[in-house]
Amino acid sequence: MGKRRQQARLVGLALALALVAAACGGGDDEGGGSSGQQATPQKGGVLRTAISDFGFTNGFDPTGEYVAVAIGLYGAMERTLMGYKHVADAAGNELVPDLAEAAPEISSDGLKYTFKLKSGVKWAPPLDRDVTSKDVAYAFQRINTAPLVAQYGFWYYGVVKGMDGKAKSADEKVSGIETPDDSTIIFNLEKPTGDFLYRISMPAAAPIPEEVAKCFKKAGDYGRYVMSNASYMIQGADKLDISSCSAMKPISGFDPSKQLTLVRNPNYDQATDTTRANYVDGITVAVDTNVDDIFSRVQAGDLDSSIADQPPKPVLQQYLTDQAKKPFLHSNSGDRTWYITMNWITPPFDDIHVRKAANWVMDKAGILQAWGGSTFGDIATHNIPPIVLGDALGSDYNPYPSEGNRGDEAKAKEEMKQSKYDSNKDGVCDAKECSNLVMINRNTPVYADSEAVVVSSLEKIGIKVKPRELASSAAYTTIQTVKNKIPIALNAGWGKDFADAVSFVLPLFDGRSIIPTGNTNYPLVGLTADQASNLGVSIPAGVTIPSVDADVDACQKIPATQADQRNECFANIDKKLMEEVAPWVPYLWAKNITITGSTVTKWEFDQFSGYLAYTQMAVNNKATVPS
Amino acid sequence: MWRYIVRRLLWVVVVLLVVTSITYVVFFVMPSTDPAVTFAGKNPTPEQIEEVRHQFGLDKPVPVQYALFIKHVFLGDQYGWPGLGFSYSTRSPVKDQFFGRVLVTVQLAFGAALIWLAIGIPIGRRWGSRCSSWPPQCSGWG
Repeated sequence: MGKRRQQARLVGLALALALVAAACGGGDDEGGGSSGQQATPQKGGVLRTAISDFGFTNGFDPTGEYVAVAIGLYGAMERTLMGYKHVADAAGNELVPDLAEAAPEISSDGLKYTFKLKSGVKWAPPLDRDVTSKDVAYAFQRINTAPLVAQYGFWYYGVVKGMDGKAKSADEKVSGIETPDDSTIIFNLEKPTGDFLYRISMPAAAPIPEEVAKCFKKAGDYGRYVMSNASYMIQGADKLDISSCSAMKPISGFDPSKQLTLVRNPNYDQATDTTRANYVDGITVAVDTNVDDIFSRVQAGDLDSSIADQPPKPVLQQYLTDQAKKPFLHSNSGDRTWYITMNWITPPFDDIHVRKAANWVMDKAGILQAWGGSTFGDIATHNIPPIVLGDALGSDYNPYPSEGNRGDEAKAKEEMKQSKYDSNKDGVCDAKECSNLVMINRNTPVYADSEAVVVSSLEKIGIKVKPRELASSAAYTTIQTVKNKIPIALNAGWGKDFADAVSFVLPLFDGRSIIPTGNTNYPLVGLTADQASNLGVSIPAGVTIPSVDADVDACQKIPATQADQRNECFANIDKKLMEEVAPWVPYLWAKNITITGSTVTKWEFDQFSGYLAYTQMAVNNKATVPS
Repeated sequence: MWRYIVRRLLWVVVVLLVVTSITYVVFFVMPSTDPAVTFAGKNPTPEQIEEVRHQFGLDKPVPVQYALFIKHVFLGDQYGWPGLGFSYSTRSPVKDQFFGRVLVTVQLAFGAALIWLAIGIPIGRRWGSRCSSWPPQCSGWG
C-alpha cells in the first residue's frame, strides 16, 4: 500500500512538472515564407500589426497627440489641407495638396494663405456630410484652447493672427482665420513664416467636426471618438450616437490598452485622392506587451508587420544572416538624430574648446557598434538629418573627421589645449570642473551599452563623467528642467515634426524656445543673461553663449515653396552650430526597422510619420476585419 | 477570541494605511518623472504643464491627493466603485482595465497555487514526519 502511494505521488509530481513545461513552452516558429518578392498588389485582406504600447500622451486626440505612432495612423484617417504621399525617402517628405484643391494663393508679403477645398470629401458615418472650411477652422479653435493642451500648438501661436493658446473654450473663433464659404479658408499670419505649409500638414490642423468634438473639453477626451474624413475610420464609428453629448460612448473599435481597428470609410471617394492607394479592407493594431511575441507572430504569419518596436537582437540576427529572411527586414531613415548634449552654463562645457574637443574625441563607430551596427542607423556628422536638410550639406560634410569614425585623440587634445580648463596645456582637462560630472542616460540596453564608449572617449581628454541611468521619461524630465543644470546627457534624440529643418532648429537651438521645465534646448544655445536670471540660473562669468536666433529669423523669411533656398539657409545654420557653437556631439542618424511577413505583397514606408504606410501596403492574407 | 479578531482586523487597516501611504509618497520623492511633463508633449510650455497637472489633480497638496485616493477606493469615484482612478496613458478608468485582466491573473495564481500545493504538501508531510523539533534531526537523510 505504501509503495503504491509513493508511486502515485511520483506520478503526480511528474504530471505537475509536465503542466508547468506545457504552460511555459512556446510554439515552433515557422519560417518567414517564400521569396519575399512582392506580387502585384491586390485589394483586400486586413493589415494585421501589433505594438507593445501605443504610448499616446494625449489619448489619441489629434488636437494634442504628438506621438509619431499616432501621426502614422492619422494619415489613414484624416486629410489635411496639404499632406504627403506616404512613401519613403525625400519623395515622402514633399508636400502635396490633400484636402486642398491645390497649393494656396500666398500674398506677396507672405502674410495671407488662401486655400480652396476639394469637393467630394466627406466625413465617415455617422456624420455623412461634406467636410467644410468651418471644420478646418474649428480644428484651429481647438488648438487655441488651453484646456485641450495642443502639444505642438507653439507652431501656430503668434503665427496665425489671434492664436495664443489661451482661449478658454473651442467656441472662441480665431480672428486670423476666415471662412467666406464652405470651400474657402484664409489664414492671416502675424509674420512671414516660410514653413507654414508644413505646419498645416500636421494632424492637429486636420478638420474636426464641431457637432462631435464640442462635447470633449479636456485634453485627450476626444481621442476615443475621432471622426474620419480619409480612407479609413475607426470600426464602430458609424454606430456612435451623436444625438447628444451624454449619448456618446467610446467607439468600440478603439481601446487604448488593447487594440485599434480601422475599416474603410464608406463615404470616401478615391477620385479625390492621389496620395492613398488603400489596398487593404482594414487595419488592426493590437497591443502586445511581449515584444518577442510580436516578432514570433510575424514569423508565424499571425501578423503581417511590426510597427514601432525594435526587433530583439536574436530576431534581428536571423533576418540579417538568413538570405531567405533578409527581404522581410526594412531599414528606413527615421529622420532622427541621437546625440550627446552638453550644457553651456555648466563648466567645463561653458568653454567652446572643451565642446569641440568632445566632438573630436568621440568614438562614434563604437557607439554605432553598441547600437547593433549600421542596420540601426548611420553615423551622424552634423545635427540635422540629411533628408530633412534636403541633403544641402552633402555627404562629405564632417567638421570632426577621424579614421573609421573612432575619434581623433590628437586633434581633440589640440583643441583642449586652447581651453582654460587645461592649465598645463597637455591636451587633458585638469581642472576640478572636469571631474565628477553627472551624465544622464537611459537604463535600457542600447543606451547603457553605449555608455562605456562615451565614458572612455571623454576620459582621453580628461573629462570624467558619472553616469546616472534613469527610466526614459525620468531621464527626459531631468534634463528638461533647466534648474537641474545637468552638464551632459546621453539619453536624448530628436525626430522631425515635419520635413523642414525649422522643426529641429526652433525647439532645439533657438534661445527664445528655452523654458524652465519641458525645455528641449538642452545646451541652452542663445540663452541671455536676462533669461538666465528669470530661470533661476546664471551664466558663468566671462561666458557669452552663442546664438543662432537671427539666422533662424532670416531663414524663416524664405517660403517652403523655395525649398532649395530654405535648405541652404538652414544648412548654413547647421554648419555654424557644428563649428562655432558645438551644442551636441551628434552620433547617429537613426533608422526605423520594420519586419514584415510573407503575406505582405507591397511594402511601403511613410517618411512623414517614420513608420509603415498603412494606406500604401497590400497583403494577401484574405483576412476579414474582426467583428 | 472576538477581541483578538477585531484587534487583528484593526491592525490590517493600520498596515494597509502605512503601506499605501509609503507607496504613494515614494512616487513623489523618487527621481523626477513628472507625469504632467510626460503627458504635455515633447516641447510643452509651462502653462501646458500646469494645465495637465491641474487636469490630473496633481496640483493639490500630496496629503490631499492621498486622502482623495483613499476616499475614492472605499467610496468610489466618478467611474464607479472601487474608485481606482484614471489612467494617464489610456485616458480611461483604471477600474475597467483592472477588472478586464484580473480574471486571467486569478486563474494563473490559482493554477500556480495548485501546483505548489500538489508538490509542497506531500514533500512537507514526508520529510516533516521524519524530523524532530529543534535543532532539526531528520532520519532518512544522508
